[in-house]
Amino acid sequence: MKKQSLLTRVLAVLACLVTLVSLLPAMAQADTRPITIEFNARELRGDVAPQIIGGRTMVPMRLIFEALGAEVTWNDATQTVVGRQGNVTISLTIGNRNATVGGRAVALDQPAQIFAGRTMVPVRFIAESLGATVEWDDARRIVRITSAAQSRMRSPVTSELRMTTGGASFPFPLYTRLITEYAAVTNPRVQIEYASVGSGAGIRGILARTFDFAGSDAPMTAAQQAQVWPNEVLHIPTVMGAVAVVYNLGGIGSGLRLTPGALADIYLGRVTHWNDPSIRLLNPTLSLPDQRITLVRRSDSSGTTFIFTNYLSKVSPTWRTDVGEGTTVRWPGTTIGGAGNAGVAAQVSQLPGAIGYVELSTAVQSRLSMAHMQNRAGNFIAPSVEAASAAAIIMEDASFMTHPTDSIAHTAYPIVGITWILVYRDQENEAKARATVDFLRWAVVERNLEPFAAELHYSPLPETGINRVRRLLQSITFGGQPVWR
Amino acid sequence: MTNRRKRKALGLLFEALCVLAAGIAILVLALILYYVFRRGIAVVNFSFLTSLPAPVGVAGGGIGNALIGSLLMVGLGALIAVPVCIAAAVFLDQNPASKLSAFVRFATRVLSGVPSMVIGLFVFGQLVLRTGNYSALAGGIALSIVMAPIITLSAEEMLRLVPSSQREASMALGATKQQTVFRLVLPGAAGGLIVGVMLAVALAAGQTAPVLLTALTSRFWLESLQQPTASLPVLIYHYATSPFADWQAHAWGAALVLVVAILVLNVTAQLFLGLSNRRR
Amino acid sequence: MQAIRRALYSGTREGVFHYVTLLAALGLVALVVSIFLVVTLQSAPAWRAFGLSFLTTSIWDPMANQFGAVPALLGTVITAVLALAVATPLSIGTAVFLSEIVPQSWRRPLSFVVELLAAVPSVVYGLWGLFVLAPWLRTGLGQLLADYLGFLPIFAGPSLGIGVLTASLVLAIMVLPTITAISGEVMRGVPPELREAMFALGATRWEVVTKVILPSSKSGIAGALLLGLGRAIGEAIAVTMVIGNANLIPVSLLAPAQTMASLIVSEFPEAFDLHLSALLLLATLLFSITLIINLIAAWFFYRPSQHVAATAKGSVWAKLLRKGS
Repeated sequence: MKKQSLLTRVLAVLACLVTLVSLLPAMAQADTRPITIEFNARELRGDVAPQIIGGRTMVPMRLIFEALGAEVTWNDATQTVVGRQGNVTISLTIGNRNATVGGRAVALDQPAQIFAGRTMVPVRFIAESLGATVEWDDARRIVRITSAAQSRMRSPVTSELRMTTGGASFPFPLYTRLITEYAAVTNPRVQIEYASVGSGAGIRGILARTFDFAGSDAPMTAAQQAQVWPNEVLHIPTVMGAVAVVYNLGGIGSGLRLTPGALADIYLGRVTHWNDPSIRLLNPTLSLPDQRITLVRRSDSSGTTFIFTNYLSKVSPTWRTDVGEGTTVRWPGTTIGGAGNAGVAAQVSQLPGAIGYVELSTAVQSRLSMAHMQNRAGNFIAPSVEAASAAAIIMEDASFMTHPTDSIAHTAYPIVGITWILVYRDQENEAKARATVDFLRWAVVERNLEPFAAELHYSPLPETGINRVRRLLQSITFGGQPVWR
Repeated sequence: MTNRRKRKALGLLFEALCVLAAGIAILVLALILYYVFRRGIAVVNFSFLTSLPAPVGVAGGGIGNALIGSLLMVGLGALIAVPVCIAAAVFLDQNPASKLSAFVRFATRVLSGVPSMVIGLFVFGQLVLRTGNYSALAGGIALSIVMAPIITLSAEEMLRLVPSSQREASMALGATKQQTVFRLVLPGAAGGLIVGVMLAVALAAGQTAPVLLTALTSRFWLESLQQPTASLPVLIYHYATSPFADWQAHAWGAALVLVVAILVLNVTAQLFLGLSNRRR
Repeated sequence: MQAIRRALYSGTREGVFHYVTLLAALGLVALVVSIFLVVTLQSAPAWRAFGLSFLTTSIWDPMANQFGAVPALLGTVITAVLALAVATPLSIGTAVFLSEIVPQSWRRPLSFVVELLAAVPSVVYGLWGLFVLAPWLRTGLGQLLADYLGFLPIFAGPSLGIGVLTASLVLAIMVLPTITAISGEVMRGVPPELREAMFALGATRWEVVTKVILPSSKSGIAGALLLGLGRAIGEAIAVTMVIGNANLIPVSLLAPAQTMASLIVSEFPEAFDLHLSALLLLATLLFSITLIINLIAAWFFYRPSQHVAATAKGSVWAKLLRKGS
């Protein structure tokens, strides 16, 4: 009795163990922890929690269809759900394993069914039918759905990031567009503030590190570079642009012809009236008024002024010796200042008889008349995206560190400048370093700026320039390691 | 007799000139308001008040973030300035004749004469350069300095209107100075204090230079006090000096919103003052 | 001093309360002192580099690091004086109208309307000046002056619409409510018996105003004018928007120019090192000038004058402060 009972007991224990072991998988199956649905890294929550039924995760139909941007209709008579996104239509019937996707029949493991008063549909089937990708994180019981659009997203950083930048007003309209577009294609989002405060302020901002990167139309001076030693501020060219000579002459639209000498004489104060013989001779068909020329210039220190005076110094010996080039110069004639490209354009459009210089984009946007400038080959060229690009085809400086003014190319517009983004070679903040490199790579190297550049009248860099940008971006480091991947 | 007629004529002429002067002053205000309303009303609608600014060449866009930025920075400024300035005013009220009070009053008046631009420069140097970022916080602090003199001096004036007989009565009943201030003087002058704060808020809301130098501007929604922040006056300044017609139109729209807000504050303050005066 | 001692030596709760209010009051003083010190210290390099020549030379060349403030100083003085010249008769006329002529029941609403002018932010004045006043002046008044008085140096050159004249007119509008409100307050402080006595003698309003009101309130009005001057000198944004920002000695009222405040606004965001220091030196000058003007104004208000009622004196500052800056 005692023996038997011992045997029985051993057997009983064994039997229990076996049962336990065989039950283990079943117990694991019955994991009751809640399931989370994440759509593009954000949690989706409906009034009924997701359920696993027959090994398939089921979610309320409206939740998943609407997250994917599909329209849902419910036919009560046939008990059918129809989801429509673009040209894809999915139709499921309650309790029926046969569904259709775009008219094609598909067999389901689990049919749509009613649970807690809601129509539940298999999440993977719906998401994948609409082009999204689905992952199952078993450990955390998360269904991760990434929409088709989202999978083309860039993720340079692991959490949302905001950067403060600013500087040159020359590329401001383009940068605001790029920044808006870039924020839309990054996830987590990278939002970049770009304040149009002028190149000087941009340089000061990068030196004081109040800006994460800066825009400038003028390279930093050696003395300014020395301030950041042993680090270095890289000058990354982004786009080029023509500086248009604009005027306000009532009935006379674009096309007034000017030679380099005439332009220099106007800004030197030697030619004071629009009907001066030197201008009349160039424009025999125009009836130029006997009106005083009002000179408008930038009141703030700016790269646009630098490009303009750099050009005048190249073409006029008097300008070079008496005034010179710079982001602010001592103007020889009586001039009116406007703050920013925008300020100059505003003054020119307000003052009859005014002449000024602004970047092409501003000139076009504010519908100002633009002069055709005579280039080195002797041709009168209207400022345009193509004519500015032509100036960089024969680039005297392969490092893209000087402005291609007074180009020798036949079709080139002569007053053309490059704009740079200034970035520290060795970065202090990893996330910002990654975002900066990724933004510039997206914009310049991957040429995403080109459609916007064309629209806003900037000229993209030639191939050689883009290669230069790639090399510069590859040299940016954080903690001694290159950031470019 | 002719002498008398001449005197009468001179008197009438003088009165006419005074009426003319007042007429011109009122006409100028009317002209400014007319233009702000006429040009502003064309763009102001719900989406203008609630959207982010649009990039150049993109239709739509508004002043939503600038509106919130202005509200926040002015609110922050008031939050900092009100307790400090009212405490200072209580000190001036409690020690009206001391030499220190005279000096505090003098310093406050000097502060009221400091160009707001200089206040911006000060906060820029002390805060923006040191922390390395433009922020709503720096903007709020700059605005609190702008508000300080008005709140302090108007609060002192309002506190002084609480009759000394009442204070003496309170003290005679055994209340301490502190109790007298908190239970009698401050509640008694509350209406006037609120008026002072409202006027300070109205003044701060229209400041451009101090905010431009400290909070810069932003094209995104406000997410933290540590970030550059948009504000209505800076937006008006930038848009007004831009060459783009739609931005200029937005400048008028933003000016309309700002002017209406400031006028409402002023009119309310005036009504409030009339009300509390009548009660007294 | 006495107050500090009293506060420190009384260990009661009263002491704590007193100490807190004292601290707030001292905080305000410390703030003013530190603003002055910080701005002055930062301007020291420019002062060391240029000394008095900063005030006597007229070349302002950031590229050559050479800074002379004469054009900006003259621009400031000319625009402010011109603004005052326009605003004084208007605002004193308005003040007389509001305190002596208008019926009592109309006085408050009308004064309030004038004071609302002060509540309009300066950037809105700039906007209005740039888009409404400037085009109007260019084709209207400015063009007339250029056409008929162009032979005079002060009206020489083309009518641009922006420049000294426009800036002065905008400033005049901006200081008008300040001067009106304060001088009105001072006039109302003149005891009514004096007026009544004059009227009883058959005097006209002109005579009452010129023989009684103005003489007894002249120091208060002078103070009001000085405060208006202070505001005109310190105004930055509106002036920057309409003056044209040219670094020229303003000779013609139709030409663009620069004031100290507008120079700081337009160049500060771009300035480095000595240039920055030079702008801060301008700020220090601006601060000092407005301080001196305020001091003189205070002396005008507080010097013994039998006719200015004590209440008027007391509320002048608080009233003024509501007029905006």
